[in-house]
Amino acid sequence: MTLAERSGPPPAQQPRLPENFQARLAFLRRRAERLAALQDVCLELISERNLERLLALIMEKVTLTLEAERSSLYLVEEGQGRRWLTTQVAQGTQTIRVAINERSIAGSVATTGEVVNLENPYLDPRFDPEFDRRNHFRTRSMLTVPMLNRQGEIIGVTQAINKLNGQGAFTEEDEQILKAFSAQAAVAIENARYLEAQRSTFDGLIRGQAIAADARDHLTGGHTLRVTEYSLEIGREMALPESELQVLRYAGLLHDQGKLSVPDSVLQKPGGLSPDEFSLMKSHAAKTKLVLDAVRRQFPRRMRRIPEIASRHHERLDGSGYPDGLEAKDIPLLTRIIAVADVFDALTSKRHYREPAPDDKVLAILSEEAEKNHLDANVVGALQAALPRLVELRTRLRQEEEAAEDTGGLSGITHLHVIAPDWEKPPAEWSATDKPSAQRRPQ
Amino acid sequence: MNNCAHDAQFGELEAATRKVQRLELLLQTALDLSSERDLNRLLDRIWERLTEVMEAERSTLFLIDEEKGELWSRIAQRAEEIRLPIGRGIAGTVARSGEIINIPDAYRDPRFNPEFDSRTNFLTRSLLTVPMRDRDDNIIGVAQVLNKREAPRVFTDQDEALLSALASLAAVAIENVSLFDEQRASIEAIITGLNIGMSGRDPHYGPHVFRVQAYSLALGDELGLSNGDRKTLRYSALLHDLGQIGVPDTILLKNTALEGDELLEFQLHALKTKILLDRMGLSGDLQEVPAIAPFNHKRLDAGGYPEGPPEGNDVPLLSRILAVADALDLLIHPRPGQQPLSFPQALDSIRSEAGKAFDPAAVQALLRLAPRLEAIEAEAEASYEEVRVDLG
Repeated sequence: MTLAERSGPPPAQQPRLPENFQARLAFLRRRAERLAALQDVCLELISERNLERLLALIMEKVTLTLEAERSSLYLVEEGQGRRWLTTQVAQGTQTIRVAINERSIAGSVATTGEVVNLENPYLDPRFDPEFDRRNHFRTRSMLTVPMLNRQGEIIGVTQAINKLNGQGAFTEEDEQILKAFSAQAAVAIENARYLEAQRSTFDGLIRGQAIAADARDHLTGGHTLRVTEYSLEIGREMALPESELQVLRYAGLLHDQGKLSVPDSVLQKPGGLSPDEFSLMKSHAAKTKLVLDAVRRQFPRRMRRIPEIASRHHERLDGSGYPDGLEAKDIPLLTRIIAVADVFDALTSKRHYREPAPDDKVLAILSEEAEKNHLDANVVGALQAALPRLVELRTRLRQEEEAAEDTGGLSGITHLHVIAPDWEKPPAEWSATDKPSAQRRPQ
Repeated sequence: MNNCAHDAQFGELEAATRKVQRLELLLQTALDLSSERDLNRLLDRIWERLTEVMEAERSTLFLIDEEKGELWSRIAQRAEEIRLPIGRGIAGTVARSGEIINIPDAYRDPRFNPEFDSRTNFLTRSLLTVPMRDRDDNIIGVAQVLNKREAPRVFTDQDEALLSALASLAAVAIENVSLFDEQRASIEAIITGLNIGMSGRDPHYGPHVFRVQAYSLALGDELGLSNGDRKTLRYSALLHDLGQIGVPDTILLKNTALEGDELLEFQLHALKTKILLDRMGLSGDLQEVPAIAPFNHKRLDAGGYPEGPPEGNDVPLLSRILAVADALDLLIHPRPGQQPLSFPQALDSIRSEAGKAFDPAAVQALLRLAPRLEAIEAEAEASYEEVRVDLG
């Protein structure tokens, strides 16, 4: 029975006003007011898709809606076959873990699924006054309600502490309100969690495929992740908005997708490539485009530029690049960033025939490439400005790469040979003149 | 107390009660709509809720299709899709101006177009149309209810407020579900891209994966899997050979039978699938995939590969289903150097391993599917053709 039914008007066949008419009318009006407020809160809850912000919002709204002094939110967590409660946000206090059993108030609500409404918590043996002592706080009244999801599982507990305005304990009506609120909070939390889980799954897949594709080729191993991180750092240096950085990140992770279908004989060949092999190697950019084009429609609208951005990283501003010899106007900024990061990584990585070039040499080569109108000068400038951060990144990523190998990581994944990256010819050592260039490549 | 005052007070009490009831309905609706994760089911629920809560005979929810500059609706009680230009007609006007249009007597209002009534054999009396706004106040659609069922048989001011509140809820729920859909589509895109890329290296990869997907799902349906398990099985089928990324071309593409060490090296792909999937940190819809996809070469009587747990009876049901589906396809489309079998031969061969290599229930399910297998295969190959890309 809903509250409205319980407190509804007398039956029609008995058209007599109830004796407590005024009180009843006032009650209904107040209830309508609170429900309307709750309705607004619910709308806010389900519109918040960021889990962290959502949890903060829930706390804020419990305090407000219940006219309480403070509130706590406990969430059920699981791991290694055990379950416990954690306070995700307890305003102004640190995180606590609580066992799910009847020895504490939150624990017993999470165990039984029943509401606990205490007029004076100090009279309840389950109440732990330790918290009050430590925080110089006095808990006077406490309403604790289970948070049930749509399957009826308890996913957490909400708790309102100290009814304000000298009203003493929380009322039965407060219980109803907090229960309704908690049900909505549970749905909002599960939605936000699902969205986060799906997002990290997408991320994992896209990273995983990059890692796996890289692992086919031992020496450039980790290339894609490094290029992506370098690109992001350059993008930040150029003050790109967060939304662009996200596109850049995915485009970076996908830029060598086409290498999945380049044969080992080319990908893993030590030393120089024959003209045929070289054109096979170069085909990876066109393949990236073909594959991403095929799935473009499934990407959200803001990400539909990714096929172009990812596949044009070997184009050059003067039109001498590949696969399509595009002109500058058709090479998006994000692609120019990936192109610079790509060359930077190639130059600063060890090859079987040479050591990594020193950073000053790398900068000189990049500037020269910019002067020749191959690379974008602004992007090269941004890289230069961000160089210390790039160097830091490089160190960290190499350590991670090594750690992954040590622990077996992906070392089992391939059968490994050394390869010459697509655009390099092996010079004895790096210099501004013997850097790779279109003329020097086998055509 | 005189009668008049008595009635007035009674009316007040009734109004207050009704308001509380409506708010409770609205809260229930919020819960209901926000917990739906599939767009079509959500639209159905919205439509049901609009009709029920508004005490209307019919309701329609129009969404804006920005690319076409149109309103579209899937949920007029008759299942046909309606499309209207934005700016024209009542719904189109509301979509453009954002005003609420409440028409008590449709046939006396020049804005009402009776054509739809005559097409659907319906008589519109009253209609209320409100804009549906997202949290940034953009109009994303229009909610419309027809024919108030209860007296006074027209929609009131309170109805306008109530429908607007419902429309806001619907808007948020639709936005949420659209985000879920976007995420799912993005995940599909990456997996499809992987399959296309892998097929560029080994042309047998994509068709195999698609056929295994189709057999697995048919087996899953036969065994009555839950929706969640079905989803896991599908993703597992799509990713079960991912580790072949790490198998050298000399083995993967060898056009004669694999022998000795070559075979062992090839079998390592299952372990590589496991390593890769474990490292991806999958959750959400793919949470269970790493516990399923790498284990389709495990045998029920222990053994098989990769080495290590799970063994024998601990191999999850979904892996066992995948094992049968994979085995079927490998018997019919074997690696070079092996004789392809017909469906009846393949089924005999699998049946003889029931309880040994394969789960007996999964084998029984496969045998029940026997008459449909060729059709399933053809359909799977057709659906692979739709995504296939010739990478040259």
